Amino acid sequence: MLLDILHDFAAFFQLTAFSAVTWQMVVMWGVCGVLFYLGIRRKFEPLLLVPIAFGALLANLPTEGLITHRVLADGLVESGVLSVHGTALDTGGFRIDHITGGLYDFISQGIKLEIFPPLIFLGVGALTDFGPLIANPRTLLLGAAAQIGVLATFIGAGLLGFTSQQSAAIGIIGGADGPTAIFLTSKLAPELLGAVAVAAYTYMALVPLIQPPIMRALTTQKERKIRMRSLRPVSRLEKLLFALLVTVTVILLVPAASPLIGMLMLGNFLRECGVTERLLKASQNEIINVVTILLGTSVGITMAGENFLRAQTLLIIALGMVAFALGTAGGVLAAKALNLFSSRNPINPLIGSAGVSAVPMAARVSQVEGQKADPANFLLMHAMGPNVAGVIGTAVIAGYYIATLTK
Amino acid sequence: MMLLASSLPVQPTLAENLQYQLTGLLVVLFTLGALALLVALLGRVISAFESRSTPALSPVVAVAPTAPEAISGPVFAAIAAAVSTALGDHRFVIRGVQAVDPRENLAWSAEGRRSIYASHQVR
Repeated sequence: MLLDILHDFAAFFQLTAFSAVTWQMVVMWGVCGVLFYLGIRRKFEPLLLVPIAFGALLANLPTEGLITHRVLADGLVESGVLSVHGTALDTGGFRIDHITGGLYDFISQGIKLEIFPPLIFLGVGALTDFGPLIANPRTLLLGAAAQIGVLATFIGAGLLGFTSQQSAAIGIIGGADGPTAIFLTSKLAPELLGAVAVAAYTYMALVPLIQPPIMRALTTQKERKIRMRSLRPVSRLEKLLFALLVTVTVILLVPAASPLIGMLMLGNFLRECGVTERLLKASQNEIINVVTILLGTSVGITMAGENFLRAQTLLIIALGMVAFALGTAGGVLAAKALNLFSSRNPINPLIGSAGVSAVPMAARVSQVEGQKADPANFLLMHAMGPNVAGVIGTAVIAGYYIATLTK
Repeated sequence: MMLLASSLPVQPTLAENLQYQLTGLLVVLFTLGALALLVALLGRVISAFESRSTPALSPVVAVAPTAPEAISGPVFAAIAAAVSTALGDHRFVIRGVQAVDPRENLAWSAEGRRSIYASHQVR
């Protein structure tokens, strides 16, 4: 009797997943631990890093019914593989009988089909006040100049042997815009999605550490003390027309950016029109929260050890830092350049760094640095202009890459 | 060679890459520059329209800055209480109180200041 129980108990162990654990999984548990630490203890973008880390943990456990992995010829692992079963029809068509897959094989289609990032943009638009940008449209140019980090890093990644598509995905980290980085990477270089997303969100959280030394190095004490003119109030009509103007102009110029810009401005239009309170609240809360959970875990679940534990992951993280630093420098230098043409109404160069997006943290950094030079100077609302311009600028450059690099 | 017509090669040369990135920079600058011009134009049109539809204001009489002694006791106490609440345990002396000129639009600065104070401990 006792022997039978022990025998059954031993037989049960053959059904467990211990034997399927690989060394890559164990190492990735450590990586997940670091991400949990950064998200929970250090509060680095916890709303994204925590779901990403949990998704990564799930990706590195021998799960069943959760996610399907397929090993590719080059040793990489493709996650979220749906199997479609059907019958070929005599007419030449195909009838789908059923689709099989685990939970995240279905959920991660939100990234593969490029649904989640635009939905996040809907929420971002609903939460963003474009008033400071409308009141001082010059700051749009700062948002454009900060994209220099993206462009320069693309070149650097190319020199290090990455393909053009991969270089675009790495460069876009410098845009400091998570949804755009995920959108572009899933389209051009899905094999880098985990590394790019982790680098993007980690650096966004590190904005208060990365940017100040660069801002101080590129500005004089006198420049940091510049007080900017108070922004004029912007009417609701102007905000509504701005949303329409951006939608039409950007989509006509860069159609590939349509999903991002279209949803961003839809969210903002809902906010400003004043008659869609319920839709606005859903965009600002339920939709963006639900999608954030699904997006974060779907990104994490691409971080199978076989994909993540490669030398190129470290390279991507290093290049992401370069992109961020160059973007910051580009914004500050562009503000100084603009001052050459507008000495009567100068711009404090500290707000240029906010052009890298990372809303609203980068604007807060401008405010804090400005107050270190002059405690009575308030740059926050001025910095929100380039900050939201950076969101538009990153979407535009992403659209340019997608339009020209999609295979 | 026009790279956009054929897309960038998978492994472009440095010169090709540079040309491609400079084109990208031009695209972003052109798009956001065009937006800046359109938004500035829109602002002018709307302000011109609004100023035409708003009746002219009566001349404003200049008012001298309010001296502390001109403020009534209860109002002064309320101002002192507000300053004390904002500064917490810090000691302070109110040396003067001056009315803000309503013609200067300081609403945005005030909003920024309010947000900062609301989210941070004053040092």
